[in-house]
Amino acid sequence: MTTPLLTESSIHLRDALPILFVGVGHAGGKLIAHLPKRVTELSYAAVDTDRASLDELPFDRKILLGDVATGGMGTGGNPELAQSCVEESEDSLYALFQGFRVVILVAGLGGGTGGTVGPLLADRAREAGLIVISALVQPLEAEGGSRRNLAESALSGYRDASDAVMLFPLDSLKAAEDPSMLLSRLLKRCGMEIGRSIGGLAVLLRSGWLIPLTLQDVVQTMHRADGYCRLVAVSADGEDRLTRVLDQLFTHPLLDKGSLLAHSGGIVLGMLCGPLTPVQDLERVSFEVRKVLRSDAELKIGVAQDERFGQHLALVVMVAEHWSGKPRALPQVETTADEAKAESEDETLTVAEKKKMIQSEIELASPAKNKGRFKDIQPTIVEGADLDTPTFIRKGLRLSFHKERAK
Amino acid sequence: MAHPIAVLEVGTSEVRVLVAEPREDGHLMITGIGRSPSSGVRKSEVVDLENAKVCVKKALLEAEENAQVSIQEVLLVFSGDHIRQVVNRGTINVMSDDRVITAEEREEVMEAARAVTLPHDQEILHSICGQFYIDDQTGGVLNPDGMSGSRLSLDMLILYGHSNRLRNMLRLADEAAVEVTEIAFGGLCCGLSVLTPQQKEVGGILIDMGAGTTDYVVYSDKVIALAGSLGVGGDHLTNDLALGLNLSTAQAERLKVKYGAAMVDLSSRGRRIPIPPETGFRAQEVLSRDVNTIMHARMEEIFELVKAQVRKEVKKKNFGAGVILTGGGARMNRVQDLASRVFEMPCHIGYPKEVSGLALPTESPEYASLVGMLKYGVRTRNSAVRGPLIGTFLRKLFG
Repeated sequence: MTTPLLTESSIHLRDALPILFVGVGHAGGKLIAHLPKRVTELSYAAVDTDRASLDELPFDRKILLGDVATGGMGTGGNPELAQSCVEESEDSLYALFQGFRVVILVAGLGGGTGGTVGPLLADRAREAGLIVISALVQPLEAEGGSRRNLAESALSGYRDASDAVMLFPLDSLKAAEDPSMLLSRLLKRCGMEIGRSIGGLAVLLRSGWLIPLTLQDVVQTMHRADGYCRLVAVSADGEDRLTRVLDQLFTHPLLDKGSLLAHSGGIVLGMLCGPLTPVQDLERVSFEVRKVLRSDAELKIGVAQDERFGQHLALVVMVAEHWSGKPRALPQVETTADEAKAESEDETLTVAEKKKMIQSEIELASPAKNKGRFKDIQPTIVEGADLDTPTFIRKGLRLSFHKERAK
Repeated sequence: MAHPIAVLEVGTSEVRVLVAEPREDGHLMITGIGRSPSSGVRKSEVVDLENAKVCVKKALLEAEENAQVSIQEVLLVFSGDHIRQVVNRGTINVMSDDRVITAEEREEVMEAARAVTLPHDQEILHSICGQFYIDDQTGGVLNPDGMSGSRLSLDMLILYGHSNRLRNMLRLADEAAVEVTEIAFGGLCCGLSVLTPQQKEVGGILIDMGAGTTDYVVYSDKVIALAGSLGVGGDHLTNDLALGLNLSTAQAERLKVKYGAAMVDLSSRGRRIPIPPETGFRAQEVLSRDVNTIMHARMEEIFELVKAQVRKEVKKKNFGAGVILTGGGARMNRVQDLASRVFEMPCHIGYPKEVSGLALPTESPEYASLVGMLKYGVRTRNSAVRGPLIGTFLRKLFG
């Protein structure tokens, strides 16, 4: 039996959210190489400094960074060389980011390109106005000290330049398997986990929500999570799908078998189901998850529906690893000389000048002054919006021009 | 060659006249062109008859000199956001004993489908046949003649508009001493001009971006599934830039044409563009990023509004021909990229087809509606029975 909440009439498709997956370096590319065939709605690209490694990957969009600087031979983990590579290929990167709102960078932290170039890519993507999610694979303890040090340094760089960092520690995944497992199998499993969880998050954000969970909900939680999150996706079908999907969640190795979930202060839970899923499934999931959470934890739940899901039920769960509860200061975007000048001017504005700037923006937003040549003719009203008023004013977009004028 | 025909479009930024000589095979040879900067027109509607009249006369005179003809009659292209559409289904019973549908019954159902009640100040402009449905069949047919059935239905797309606003356009032509023999909606004309039969068959979204309005026509399964007009166009972009960056309208227009883009260009985001001084406006520099932010917001909104209409009114979701852009807005830098992103399908610029002669009209998307009107004029002139586009407005006003 269905309830009004889940009837077909309430299905609505959200506008597609442009999301770009970028495999950074050899490991990043390999980890998502299987995704284009599985999730066809998204866009994919690979970025590397090693030509041979890039040539192996199946993506349509591939960018060899720093062809002149390295001759396509990789950076070898040299930060200065990484910087040169990114600077040399900056135009190609900006062209790649054009038209997207979210970029998901997938990288291995111990690699030359993933560890050194990746944070710079995150920085450029933020500069291009994109929301940046970095999905990072932490190397095994057994890979040794220098690689671990490189990984720590890279992680810090990614955190500073990303809206959120999703960690996938290989050691956590290894513990779930038998001790004799092959390294290739471990890496494959890691790729599958990343694909399922990050791909699941992307699909959720583009699906028709019955109970809304927007990109902003996710980003807000990311910012208050002090930058680091774990992300898992679990799914099941059949009569006992609820029990099985909850079991998978509570024993997931990436959540340290549920302990991270129990101690986290912020959780986002997206439920993806078919059109005939009864409301009691949502109630059961919510009840069971709340039972394991600490009392002050913030839980945001969304339910999305997709006809292709049929009897399947999937949960995509983002868990804050460290919960500050306060919004993290957003990463600083590297600016051009002109922009830096304008921004420093903004910081040095006096109170009076700031008031003047705000006043000029308010004046511009007032109906009497914002229609220019259209002020005396019949307005074009569509769905309550007066289209004769500039779109940038109605959307609240800020221009550098107003800062400069206030000065 | 047949007698030359002339078309007139009173646009928001420019009044244009084309003169053409149709060949027997239907090919059009453009022999004359007249242009005049427009005044007294906003959003494709006359707001100052006297000023607009001067512009129309100037464009007509230029076209006459250019083509070496005297223009007495014109075909008029019009637009405006007062134009609305309704799809009306007409149904009749097939009365013959053998239940075979004849041309008479096809005409009868067309009349039934045209019978809509509109407010007293609105007039039907075009009634366009959609698909016919026989009995309870869900799939429609384009021509039911000779098929069997007991009930015949037809979906008729009816475009209607505000009588007085259309009357003002006709009065303008009258004041300029030319007789309007036919009028047609600019969006439909663009479809005739730039789309191939194959594109119409696989479906496509045609968007004509003028200075005052953005017209759109959607083809699906060989028929027009949607047509309409938004009272937003290139003038709004100019106005947005003028207000946002404290520029004169002329400064903003030049900035838009020379440096504007529909997408924010990240490689030149910090670039400063010098703006020369004008009376009442000092010289200044504006950031390229600000210019493109303003333009991107407006263009994205226009495309989103058209997309919302398509989603609401058209069942079919796949359009093999993608998005086709015409009008002056089609020249905007990176507008194809933006349209592709918003509609999630390929986008290209539509140029007038099957036309030769003077270079400007044959190579410019701005002339798509005028060339389409020429084709429409040739078609209605050659045909005793009018095609699917039937202008009833003139008959009602002057018939």
